[in-house]
Amino acid sequence: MPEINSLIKVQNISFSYPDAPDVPVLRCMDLDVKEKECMAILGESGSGKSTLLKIMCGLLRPDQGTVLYDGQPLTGPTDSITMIFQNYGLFPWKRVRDNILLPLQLRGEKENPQEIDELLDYLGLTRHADKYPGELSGGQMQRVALGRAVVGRAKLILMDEPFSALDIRNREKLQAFMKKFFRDTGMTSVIVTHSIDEALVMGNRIAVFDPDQGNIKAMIENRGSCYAAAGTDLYYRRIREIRHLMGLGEHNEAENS
Amino acid sequence: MKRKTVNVIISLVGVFLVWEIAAVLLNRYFLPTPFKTFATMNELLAGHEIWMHIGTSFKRIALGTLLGLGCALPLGIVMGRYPAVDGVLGAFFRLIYPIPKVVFMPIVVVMLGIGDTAKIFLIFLAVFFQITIIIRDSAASLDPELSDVMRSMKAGHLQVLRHLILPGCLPGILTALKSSLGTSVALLMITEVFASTSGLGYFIMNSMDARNYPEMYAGIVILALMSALMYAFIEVLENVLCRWHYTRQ
Repeated sequence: MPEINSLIKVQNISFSYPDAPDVPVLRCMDLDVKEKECMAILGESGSGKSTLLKIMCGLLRPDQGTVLYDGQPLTGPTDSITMIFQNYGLFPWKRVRDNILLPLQLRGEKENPQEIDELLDYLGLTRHADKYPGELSGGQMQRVALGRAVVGRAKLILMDEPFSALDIRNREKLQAFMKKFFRDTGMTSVIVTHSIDEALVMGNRIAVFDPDQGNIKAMIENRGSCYAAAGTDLYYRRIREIRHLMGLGEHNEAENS
Repeated sequence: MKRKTVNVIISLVGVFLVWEIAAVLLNRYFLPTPFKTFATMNELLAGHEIWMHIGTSFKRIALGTLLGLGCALPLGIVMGRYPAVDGVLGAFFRLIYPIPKVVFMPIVVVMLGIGDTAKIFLIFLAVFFQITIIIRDSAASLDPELSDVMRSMKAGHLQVLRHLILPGCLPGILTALKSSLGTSVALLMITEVFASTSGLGYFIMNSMDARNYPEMYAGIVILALMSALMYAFIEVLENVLCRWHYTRQ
């Protein structure tokens, strides 16, 4: 089987915030994200996962170590990497269409109206193109953010807790949509989550984050059966495995229903 | 008819009814009836003089407000976005902001005389401090996530200003304009009463001195209408430019 190339490589990075220099958030961390994979980074809230995403996006500079994107050191934000923030990062004063077109507007490029209409159709947003984000549901806002990533021609999408603000029904619908989206677009993605379920459903590899060490504790391969489909034996086996790794108690199946 | 329009009509009818009853009951020369006042107002509006006073007062308010906004906008944004600048200038603003700007009138008159410049400058002072504080607060409270989005898209300073800061601060700016309007009109009245030969404030006081009470009341109604129209204009701007602000689910 041909070896899949790394799209982004985090090498030996450490980071602490200027207001707490003695409390490192990340310590000598290594991480390797392959092309076209969806990696889930799993850890408790406030453990430094979002900081890692910001470093991978070029918004923060590590105190030590390097990030290589496509083999080149990452020195700042680039068009090829986009980050979707926890609250979707949509501008409330811009309509859906304008939010999606923003990357092109900032680069001074003209949009192709037909392509944009097709994209809106694909995202199920045609009816909502002239609405403001405040008029949309959480799932629709997430799709607008995905549309913006496509228009910006990003190859890598970094997503910070993408499902945290959604109810269970919309979360499942969006998860299914995102899987299709990543398959169709061939984009590589990194999803940060505190939910084992989300990590299992979305990630074909799961990096379990250790907040005490500021590093990845374990990497779990989650391939097969289109990732671990909820309710299957494989799913519960992996949940037990991850909870054990995270030092959590016995798994109650009802929790995840 | 929209509920809002019906409410406005009801309150106007209420005001005129109370006024009419008071005028009839008191039956004194210093309180003409609304009908008498509006008849005088119609006569005044048919002539030229009142329009000159309206134009002068409007010019003073508009220039003072635009000047105040023009200076407050960049300063408020810089203070809101750069805590270090706010730290230095904030102390000065905390000191000056609560002082009623009318107390500076003697200083302004001594320095700028009694002409238009002094009047406009006093309105500018009132508007400038009020709007700067509100714009600073709006700029400081912009969602930091959106700043990160702009940075992740490699937006330049001007692009951040255009796509993030200005639209994000716009509701605050318009609210500030609305709230400063009352102060501007009050200052206009005070400055036009003092050593003036034009403006609605002058016209009202001149009518009072001449004991021409119907004209005095007509002047007050015209000044009130002018303020209400300016307020309504800002509200229209708000409805057009900040529709997103009222479309939260």
